[in-house]
Amino acid sequence: MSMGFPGNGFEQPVALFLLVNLVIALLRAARGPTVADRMLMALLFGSTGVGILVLLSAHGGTPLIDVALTLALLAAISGIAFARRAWQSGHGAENETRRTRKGRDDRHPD
Amino acid sequence: MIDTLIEWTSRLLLIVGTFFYLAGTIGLLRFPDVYSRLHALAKADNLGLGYIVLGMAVQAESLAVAAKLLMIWPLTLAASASVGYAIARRAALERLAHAGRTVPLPFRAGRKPRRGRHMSGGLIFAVTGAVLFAMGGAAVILLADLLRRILAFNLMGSGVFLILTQSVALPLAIYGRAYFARAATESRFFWTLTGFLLAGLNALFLSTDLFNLYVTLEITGPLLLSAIACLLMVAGLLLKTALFPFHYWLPPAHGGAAGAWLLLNPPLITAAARVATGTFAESKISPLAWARFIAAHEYQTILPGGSVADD
Repeated sequence: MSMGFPGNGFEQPVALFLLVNLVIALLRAARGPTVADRMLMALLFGSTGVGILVLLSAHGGTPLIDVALTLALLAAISGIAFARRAWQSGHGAENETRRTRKGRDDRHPD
Repeated sequence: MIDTLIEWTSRLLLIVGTFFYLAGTIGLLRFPDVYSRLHALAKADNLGLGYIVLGMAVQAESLAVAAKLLMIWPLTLAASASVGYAIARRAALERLAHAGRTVPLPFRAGRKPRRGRHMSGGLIFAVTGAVLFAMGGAAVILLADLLRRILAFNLMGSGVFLILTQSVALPLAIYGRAYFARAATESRFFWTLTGFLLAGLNALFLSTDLFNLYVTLEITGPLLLSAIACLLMVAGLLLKTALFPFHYWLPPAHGGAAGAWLLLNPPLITAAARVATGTFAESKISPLAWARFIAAHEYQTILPGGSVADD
């Protein structure tokens, strides 16, 4: 398979760094406190994932660039779908201004 | 001389990109409210991606590869602009708290969304679906190898899903209001996607007369690369199935996604390919190739999951 890149030896360490970066950012998802913050994490998975795929294309070959393109497109659509559809008022969003409601887990009302 | 220059330019760009990703993560962790965190994500991370794409494009061997790489960046910029706007607007509508002295929001933040408002979004989703379907269809016809055709076909599947479930007029005419019940939508999604994928595999086989999946997917890489691929794969699977580290933070969006189908899909495709070519025992699919499928399917199923959870 034609590789398309000579590679400069920095790609894999940088990709690994981005992966660690992503894992650390998961703390934000853990802390919340709103559904929107967690969705931001999903978007971060998208942009970091595209970056990692682009970096790995130095060794994995140019098809990974296609995957990166597809991923960029679909990650965006998932964000829009979330903001317009999935984010429900009231029980969907744990509102920061109403954090004193009893049960932390009110995302599954039943 | 020129080669060394290119090499070091590329390294420098990659490191600058890494810095911006790091800055984005620090912002995401340290900023006080949703609105400012959105800035960290939409600005810093996309700048980092821009530098990384540039760093890779500089060292690309052909112009076509560089051009394709550089296409990624405007796409993510446009995407993050619209997603950022949508999330910020919705957050303001939900009256999420601002931290500290902030300027007033430039839109009517006090208005709550009307009940049943989601129905009006149908046209956008229908158009998006049609565009996705057309793009995917053109790509399926034009592209050369099987892997890219399958990816393009998934794009087509997403489009079909959006048209069938999210546009109001068509499903309303066919199935009536009950169509929008969650269970119906879920099963519709599942069977639509499954049916279309199977039909697509048949069509691919008929058109190419060839199922050499493992030839097009053949990849050899160093150990670290395989390790990263496996990590990504495991993270993707955990996310998809909402297992331990991810079980509590997922938005309800994941409620209806077809997890089982996702898990079965790459092995199924591989098995089908082997049976079709009669080479069942001969070759194996590499972990990275599998990870590619998983990555593509991840984002494809988050989308339907997100829209299904509306009801």
